[in-house]
Amino acid sequence: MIDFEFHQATDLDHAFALMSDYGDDSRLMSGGTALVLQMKQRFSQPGHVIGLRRIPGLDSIEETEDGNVRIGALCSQRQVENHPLVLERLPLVAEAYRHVATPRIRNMATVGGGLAHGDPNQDPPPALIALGASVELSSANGVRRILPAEDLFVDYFETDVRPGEIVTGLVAPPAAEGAGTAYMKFLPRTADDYATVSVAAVLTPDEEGKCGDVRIALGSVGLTPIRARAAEEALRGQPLTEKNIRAAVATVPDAVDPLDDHRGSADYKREMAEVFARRAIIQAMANSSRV
Amino acid sequence: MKLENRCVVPASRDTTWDLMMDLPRVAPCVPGLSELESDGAGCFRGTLQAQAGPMRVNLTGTVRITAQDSDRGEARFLLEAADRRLGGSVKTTLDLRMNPTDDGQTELTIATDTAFMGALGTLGQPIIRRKAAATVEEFARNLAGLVERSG
Amino acid sequence: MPQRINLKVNGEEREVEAPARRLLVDLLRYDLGLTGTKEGCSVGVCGACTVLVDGEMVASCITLAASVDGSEVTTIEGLAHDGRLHPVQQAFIDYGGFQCGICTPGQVMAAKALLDENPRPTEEEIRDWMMGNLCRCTGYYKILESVVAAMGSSSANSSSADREGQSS
Repeated sequence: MIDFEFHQATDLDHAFALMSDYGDDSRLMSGGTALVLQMKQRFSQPGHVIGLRRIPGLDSIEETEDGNVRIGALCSQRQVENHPLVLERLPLVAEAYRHVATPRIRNMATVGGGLAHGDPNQDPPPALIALGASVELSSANGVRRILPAEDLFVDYFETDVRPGEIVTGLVAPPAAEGAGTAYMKFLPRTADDYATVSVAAVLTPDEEGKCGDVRIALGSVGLTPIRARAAEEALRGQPLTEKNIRAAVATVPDAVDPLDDHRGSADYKREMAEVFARRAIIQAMANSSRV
Repeated sequence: MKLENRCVVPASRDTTWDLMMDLPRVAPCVPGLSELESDGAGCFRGTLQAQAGPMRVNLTGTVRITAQDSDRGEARFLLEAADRRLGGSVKTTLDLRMNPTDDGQTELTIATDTAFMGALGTLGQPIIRRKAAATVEEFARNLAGLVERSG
Repeated sequence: MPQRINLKVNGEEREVEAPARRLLVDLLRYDLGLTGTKEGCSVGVCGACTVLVDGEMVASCITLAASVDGSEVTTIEGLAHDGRLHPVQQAFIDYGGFQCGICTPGQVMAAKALLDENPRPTEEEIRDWMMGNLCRCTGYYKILESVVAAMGSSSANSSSADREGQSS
């Protein structure tokens, strides 16, 4: 690892000041699980590392006035998976975070750091996108920008977090009354691996067993997490029969764009994306109180 | 690693050929390439910046034309460059083929064979392929713009 | 650039001057001579370098020492007290939870962290938790048995008293 200067930010304003002092030559670090590895591999060689972990006020999980759940960016991923409010109101989010690596990594890795990392193989983003969660970005002088999680990821390990911005929180709405949710992770290798394919589904059947609102998002099958819009479109308003579900997920291979790697060829992942999308839909139906 | 990408240049083959053989002129079309300087003996020195996922690459090195056949519309370049900070280097043989299309434009084929050394070798091939394809597309757009501007 | 790093390691205040790139595992091993913590994969996967920082288990091979300045760190050297092994250590001995030993400090620290947080884990919870600590010798069954045994004895933290003679 090439040496650098480490600056521990004591509060947000201090962090913004450090960012403005060191600009391009600096990287932000919270848990460090991603950045330290990148620096070890020399992928990233900042002259300055700005530590965020000691910034107060960013590690709480609370209900907002409008009934959403706000998760501070410095919450560890384990904190999220075990928090009573998340377990009760956002079981899909708790489930997705529980699938990340190992308990040790989830102790270290933070919610904000994971989002800013922009790795398309991570577990939480598909769940957050399927739920319609938003990311809160802060910059100097109290400026805030709220971005749908779906729009955060712009390219391979590239996010829409702009220079001068810090991810400060995540706001997720609980799934609608009667909705079922599911997160499926296809893991043919080891339990702590990244997914070969992952799918999150949030689906609200109506009183007659027809599909109401539905959102499906996939991870590990492209340069960013991907929303299966054509499949959602095909399902909406249709009776939730096996035939209709199969027809809907048949659009998934065209929606994804996987890379060949040691977790599988692109063709294989494309096929598995369809299979796991179907399973996620069926699991979400089973988890709904209406079917 | 071998890559082949194609694009269409909205100009005749002769025009395209002249353009492609004039490296300082075509250099601004290459995304991320800066400071191409001639050593006066057919060799050019420059710096290429690129980002592929978490890795930001800053390659400094040389490019020279090692073979050219204007009748066939084929030329070969040798690129050698290193990123000293990252601790890695590349050596690339780049073959250009220019074929006239039926509608008077030129199909440009860019085939490269690259050896990655050091840290650069750790980056996955699939993502390099994606980035290379995107870079060639952008290069083609820039080239088309250049052709239009030069009328 | 060298900077001063203050840590409370196994209950003792330590001050080290080290460059910002110094990893916690290296600071422990080379600056403080605490070589009980091992480095395995160097990428946060194998668990050999597990230590506790402010009571939470972390991978010290991907932790910048400077980033945990001011924290309390517990390593394998900090578990035994007054010549008495920690119940988890004793259980690993009694139940054959190790062979070559390279992964053992990490296994023991991970098991301790689990029992600190959840004194009565189910077998599935133990498996899930210990999943991130690789062992190439035991086949894991003996490790699982050791953790289960430690769970039985750790509630009182005193049952190792009768084994004091073995622990030196």
